[in-house]
Amino acid sequence: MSIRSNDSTIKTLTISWALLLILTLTAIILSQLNIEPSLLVTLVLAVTVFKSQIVIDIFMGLKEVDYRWRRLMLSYIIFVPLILGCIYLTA
Amino acid sequence: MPVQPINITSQPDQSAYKELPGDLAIWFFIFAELTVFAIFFISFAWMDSRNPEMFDAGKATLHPIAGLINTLALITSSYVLAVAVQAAQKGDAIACRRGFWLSISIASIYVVSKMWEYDQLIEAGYDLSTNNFYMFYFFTTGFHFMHVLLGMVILAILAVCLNKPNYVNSELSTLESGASYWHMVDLLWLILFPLVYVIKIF
Repeated sequence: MSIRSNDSTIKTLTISWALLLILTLTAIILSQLNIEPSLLVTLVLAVTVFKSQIVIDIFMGLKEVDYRWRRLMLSYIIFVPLILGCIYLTA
Repeated sequence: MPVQPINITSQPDQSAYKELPGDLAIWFFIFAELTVFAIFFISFAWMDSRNPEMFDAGKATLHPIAGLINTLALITSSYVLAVAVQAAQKGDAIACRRGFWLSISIASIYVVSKMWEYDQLIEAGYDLSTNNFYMFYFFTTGFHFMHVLLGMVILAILAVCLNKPNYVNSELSTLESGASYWHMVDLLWLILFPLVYVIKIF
């Protein structure tokens, strides 16, 4: 049985949850601002990477885990949006 | 003068890390799922960038408020579950069980909202065969929807199991595995949401 010690406090989780809500609303507001499409894509994907990192580090609790697992997850949330960004920006 | 040993390795000390939450098998499953979804995301973006008029017109028929409600529901459900896992790690079975059921209840908001959205689109005459946008939209979000339903079933089974005495202590790894799967479902939606509802390039 794996026993994970209790470092991620309720307070950290709650702040992260509030941050995720704010970032989600930020993405929606950005889409309503009539900004240049390439800038919109860049900003929205940057917000997505930030939100995903919060889920991985805080909700999944990988921040305190072996760095190789965390790197694997972080590489996913960086490379996938990076590829998406390249597709949109080079279209 | 004594020579101090120099640490030439740049890798952090392994003993300083905690164990991976949940079973190792669930993480292989999570990475397999993430890979499959990555192919969907890239395919969606590729088709979107090659057919911007069609995709932007399709996105205009969606309901961004429903998309926002779905996102807030999944984020909140994930948060409640993370708090429940904290309770499990402290051995508090009652708080953990309540957290699991509350997480499922909040996730059901996503289910109702998504079904309402599908119903609205189908009533308006849009389906998988309408064009490439709707094919990708229904297929990708539908596949994710199935993962949400599966996740809710897993969480419900675990919540029922939490009625057993000492389950919270003896099966902590199982509870963490279920929670990790649910966070993955949340993570996938965080990438899917901007692709479908937010990014408009035409």
